[in-house]
Amino acid sequence: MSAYIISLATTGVIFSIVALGLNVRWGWAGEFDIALFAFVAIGAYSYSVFNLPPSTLPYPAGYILGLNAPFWLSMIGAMVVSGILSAAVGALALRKLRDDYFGITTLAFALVLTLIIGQDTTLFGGFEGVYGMVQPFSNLEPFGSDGGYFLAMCVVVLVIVFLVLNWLYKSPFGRAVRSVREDETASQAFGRNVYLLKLKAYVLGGCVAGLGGALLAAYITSFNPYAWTPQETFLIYAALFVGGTGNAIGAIFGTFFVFVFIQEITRYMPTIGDNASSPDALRLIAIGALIVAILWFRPQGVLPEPRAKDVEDTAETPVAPEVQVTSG
Amino acid sequence: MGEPSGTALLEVDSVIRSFGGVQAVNGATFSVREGSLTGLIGPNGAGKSTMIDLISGFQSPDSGTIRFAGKEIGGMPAYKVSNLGLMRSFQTPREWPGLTVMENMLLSFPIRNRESIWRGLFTRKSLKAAEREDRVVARTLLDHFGLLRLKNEPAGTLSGGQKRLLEFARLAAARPRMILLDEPQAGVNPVLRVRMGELIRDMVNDGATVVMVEHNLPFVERLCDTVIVMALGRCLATGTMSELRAHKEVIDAYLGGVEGVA
Repeated sequence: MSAYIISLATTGVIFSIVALGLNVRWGWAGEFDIALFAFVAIGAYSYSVFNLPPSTLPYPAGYILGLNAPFWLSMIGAMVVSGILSAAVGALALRKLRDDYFGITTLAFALVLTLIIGQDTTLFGGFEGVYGMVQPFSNLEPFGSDGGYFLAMCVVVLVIVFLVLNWLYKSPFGRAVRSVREDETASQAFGRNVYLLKLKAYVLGGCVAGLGGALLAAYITSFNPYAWTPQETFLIYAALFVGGTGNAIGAIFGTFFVFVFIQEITRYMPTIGDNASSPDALRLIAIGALIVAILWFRPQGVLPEPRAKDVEDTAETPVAPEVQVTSG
Repeated sequence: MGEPSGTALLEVDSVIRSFGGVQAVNGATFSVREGSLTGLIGPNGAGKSTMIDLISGFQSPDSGTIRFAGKEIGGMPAYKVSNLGLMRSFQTPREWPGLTVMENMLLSFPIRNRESIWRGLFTRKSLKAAEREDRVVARTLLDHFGLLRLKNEPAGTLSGGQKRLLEFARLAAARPRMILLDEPQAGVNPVLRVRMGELIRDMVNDGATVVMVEHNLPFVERLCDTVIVMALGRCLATGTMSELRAHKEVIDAYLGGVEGVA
């Protein structure tokens, strides 16, 4: 395997985990969350400061903790921190606000956090960022230095996340969360604490996003304060829209389509004039056009949310004579 | 007053609720006996729907008390009221449109204790077994309401009448102690209306106490033991329909009220 293919696959797998996190928030609970990437950033930062030794950066640059924790413990720590901060943001934003107002509040949080990360050098390492982690398994021959074993670990994590979320999706908890997405008032009328269900979904999604962030930091072995723009969240929405909101397989497919296929195909677009950044701009235009096209022609995405089939365990009972019901 | 037999399950006392300058409910007082089928009638703007919202917790009273089974529920969040066994329907049926008819049923059983993340991950076997029983009951109910062949369809694709039947099937699955029906006849065709009457009777025969807001007075007369008349946010009179017909104030409120509606 060439290092190039491995790097593409690793990116796709890590962003798939992030997309699964957004799928819990937006796909299950219908929360129009714009802060998702902030929790990826929080996960990445937490992983970095758990994993690194104490800061030796010259003042005013620096970072907190520096626990020298093993990578797996740092990953768990990143999930916990992202989950706790999700609970704090969600508790505020979900209490009284609906839909777009909720979205605006999460956008504000994401912008504020981006500014803090960019400005607070003693916490976030300043211009250079927080760096110097060792990629897990990179010393392991023969495939470690190419990132082969790390990719394998990311795939294992993706499979675990996928299975756990799939169990929850089908469980009474997942069904109750989806009922809130469909009609909040009806859920209240049937005894659901809508606020608490939304908050649980928000925290669950935040934990998964934080885990994705941890893997991202472990992969690129640094935390760059300037890499976390709220714009990234919309790319993950694009991936969900393409793949099929609410469908976990669709989320993974959409992620590979947007973050690998589109990303790579636009690499070969010619630069316009002598503007070196035009391929980047064209990529965003292509993704924007893709969102519009998908929402226009196939709003349910390539793989729509699966419909829960009720199958009787015993032999099929004969269908009872129907009561004639005409539309009211 | 209605027959004295049976204890009051619901007691509404001097409840006031205003929106800006409009007093939607203005000192309403009445009670509902356990096991009765009570009609709540009155001209448009009398405050009936607001009353339903106040009792079910979707709005909070400005003042006054609402007691259900001896417990004060005024201002309690709707989901808590529902979990106490006091449930409601809406003028337009509210199903979960993107979920299947069967999922709508499964969500209606009183199973809040099963909806934890922990149980969803670590007790999947026992959850499955418990749900298998619910599914059997749900199929029987759907069959009874003529919806069984639609069990795997999204509930949003049902017709208006079918949605109303699904709402009744969900209430039957929930088996609450008290049910508030907000205009169950709204948007229902004449053939189904007759059936709706029987189904509402079934609810009472199964042990539920039912309060029904309804504009169709012959329907109310045929079905209800007791009728409460509201006008201008107050409770005017309580009694059987024939008693109320002799009530001068009620006739005035109804006929006068229709002209006075804004």
